[in-house]
Amino acid sequence: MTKQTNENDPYFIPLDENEPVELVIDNPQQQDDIDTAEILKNIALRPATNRYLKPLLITVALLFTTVVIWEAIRFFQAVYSWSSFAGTVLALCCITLTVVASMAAATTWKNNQQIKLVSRMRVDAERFIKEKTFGKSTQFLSDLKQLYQDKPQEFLLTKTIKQIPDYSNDAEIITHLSRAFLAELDNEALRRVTKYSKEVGVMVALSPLAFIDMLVVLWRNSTMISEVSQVYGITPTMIGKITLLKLMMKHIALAGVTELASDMLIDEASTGLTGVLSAKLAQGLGVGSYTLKVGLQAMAACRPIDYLDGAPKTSFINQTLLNTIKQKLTNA
Amino acid sequence: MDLKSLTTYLNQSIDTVQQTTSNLSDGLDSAWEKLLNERICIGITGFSGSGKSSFITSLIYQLSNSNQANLSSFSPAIQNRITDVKRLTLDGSEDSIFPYQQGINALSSSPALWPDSTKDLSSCLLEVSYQPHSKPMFSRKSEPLKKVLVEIRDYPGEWLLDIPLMDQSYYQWCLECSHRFNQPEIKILLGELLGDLATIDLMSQVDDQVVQLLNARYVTFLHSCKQAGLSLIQPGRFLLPDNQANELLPFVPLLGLTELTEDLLSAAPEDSYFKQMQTRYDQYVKQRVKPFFEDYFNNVHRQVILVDVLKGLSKGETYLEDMRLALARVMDCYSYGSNNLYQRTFNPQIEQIIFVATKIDQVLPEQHENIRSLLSSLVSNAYIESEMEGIDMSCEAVAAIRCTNRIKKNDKMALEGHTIEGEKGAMFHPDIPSELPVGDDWQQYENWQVQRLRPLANSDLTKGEKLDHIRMDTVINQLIGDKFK
Repeated sequence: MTKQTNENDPYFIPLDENEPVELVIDNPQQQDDIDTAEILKNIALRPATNRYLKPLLITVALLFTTVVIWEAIRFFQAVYSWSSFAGTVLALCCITLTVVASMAAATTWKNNQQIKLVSRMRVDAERFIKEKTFGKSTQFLSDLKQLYQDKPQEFLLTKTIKQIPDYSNDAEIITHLSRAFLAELDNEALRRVTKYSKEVGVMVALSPLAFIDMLVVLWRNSTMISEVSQVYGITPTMIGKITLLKLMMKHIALAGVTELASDMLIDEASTGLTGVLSAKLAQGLGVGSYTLKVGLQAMAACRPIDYLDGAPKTSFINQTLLNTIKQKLTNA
Repeated sequence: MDLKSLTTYLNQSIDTVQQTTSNLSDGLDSAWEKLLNERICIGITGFSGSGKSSFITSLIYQLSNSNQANLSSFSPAIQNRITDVKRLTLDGSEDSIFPYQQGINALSSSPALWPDSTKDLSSCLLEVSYQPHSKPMFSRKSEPLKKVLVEIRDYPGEWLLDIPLMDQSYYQWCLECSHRFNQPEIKILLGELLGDLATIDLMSQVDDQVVQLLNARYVTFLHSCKQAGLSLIQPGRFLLPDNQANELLPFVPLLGLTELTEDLLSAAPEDSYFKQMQTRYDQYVKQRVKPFFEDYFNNVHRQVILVDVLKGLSKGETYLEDMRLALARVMDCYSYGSNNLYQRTFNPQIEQIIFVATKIDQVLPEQHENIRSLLSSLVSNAYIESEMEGIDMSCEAVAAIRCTNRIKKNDKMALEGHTIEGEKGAMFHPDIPSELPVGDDWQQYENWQVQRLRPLANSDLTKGEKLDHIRMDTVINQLIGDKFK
């Protein structure tokens, strides 16, 4: 029997064309897939811990400190009973030592704070650019003034701040600081970075010993990083340098795959070209442009405001790098 | 032919040849400059009363005195790279040059006056010499000076509103008019004219005297629209001084055609009101609007459109809506397109439009950003379209000549300045919305009136003293900053 109508069909409920229907997507297989992927992605095992290790260390440290203090007091008492003058001198020595040590620690800490301050300022600046608020960047400006206080850059900064019109909103202030003040520092930093990368490139191209190459590259790179940070007003310290290195690593990671890919392409092209000419030259150019990249990362990490108009272009620097090394090699 | 006449003839021919050659070489030079991207044509436009003359005067002044002027957003100026700015005529004749010197004289007179409003076409060619960037890391030697040629074109704001007529037939124009004229504010301005225009029998034979009379009344109505602060005033040339307007054949919108179809009207006799008005309208568009558009509008690379947002906001909803509609009409007319190398030489087209909210020295700096967003919501439709076409669009809040200072009065932030009559005062204003106000939001602007201000007395302008402004540097940077490499 053929059905003529659906009206009384208990197996059919007519639906209104416009009525929204709730789709039920039940795909257990896919769910499983996602879960597995998620689990695989989140694999991270806690490092094996020994819960007795920490109390042990604390106890040892406590014991050690008590013994040291106890011994010091004993020693002091012994000296004092021998001669009260010697005891006083010893006490003065101890006090001076404490003061100097804590001052040294404070200075190190303060210098180390600069790089952290710069990172924080970069975040603030980005927010100002986005939100275009008015009159909220006073803290930023005083931070900036504090960073460059009693440094050669202070003059330029003061001049730049004076140029800011009274109607500027925070985004305009940040833009002005970046274009008028930091752009000058960028130029100087870029000049130094280029100088170092040329130097390293030529040295590697000329030197016959691979081991010495490596040392030279390490030494020049570390000097370069410290110089770049000085250009941006960050006093170089050992810990500061390490913090900076860590930051640069983060920057490199953030730069992402695309930049890496394009860099590699450029490297490929240049080494491909130079490889025909000479292996030494290619090596020099490779190390030179690597140094350049390290320098640029150091610049990005030290800049209190992120580049607004994009990071400096390096393609033409690579070209001059090649020319310089070629020239040196042919002269040598 | 005797020897004398032959010599004269030969001399004449040589002159003609020389003239042609020099014209040709001029043309080639100009094409070459365009190709090298060193010449740029900037159109500055806006409805009447939006501050075009002041804007152009200030623009030229700031560029000419870039080293003293506070142009912090325009890097060639803060780097002191601009060495010289010359003002030249665009077509060789002094008549059509922009009256810059008169403007500066007016501003430096005592009491200071505003530059005269634009009454005719004018233009100006600025030759800006600058020191190019030396690449600091490689060579210290300085490169030779380079030049950027900046063409600035100005024309009466009334003409701008005629451009949308090119896309409209007479029938469409009348339909739009009858729709607009029904708004209460405009109805009051029209008075009895509304009824008179609507009751004309479209098919009957035209009576020239009646048309003359109606046209005169219509022109009076347009004038009162302008005075009331409306923006969409068509046809704009009717507003010009008598000697120019008299050359036009009079016509008026016929409002009675809403009940008739276009087919029915096309069958009307040749000497009927409808046909006659249509012919005159078409003639107006063909003889006045099109040539102007082709000569001036189409050549522009970068366009500045000045909008007096504050006036619209203080006048009320109808006026702001009218402004929005007028802007949308004007935007429809731009030939959109990217400016590639081929087009740049032979058929330049617009590549950038900057909407500029003018006279914002009447608003506290804290709220400049709101004006900017208000302006962008006014032009948002145009925004979307042009973004698709690849035109760079931006909005900026600017005062070409700043007349106020920020002060504190009764514990409130205020602006201090002089009214046009010379009375000094502290000015307040209701909060500027960042989007178009709706409904009850309009109430707070009902009692607010934007003052007409007098420029600050500045007798040293002729000596290159600083001319205060708000964000002219940002606009200059957006307009020509990329040319100073």
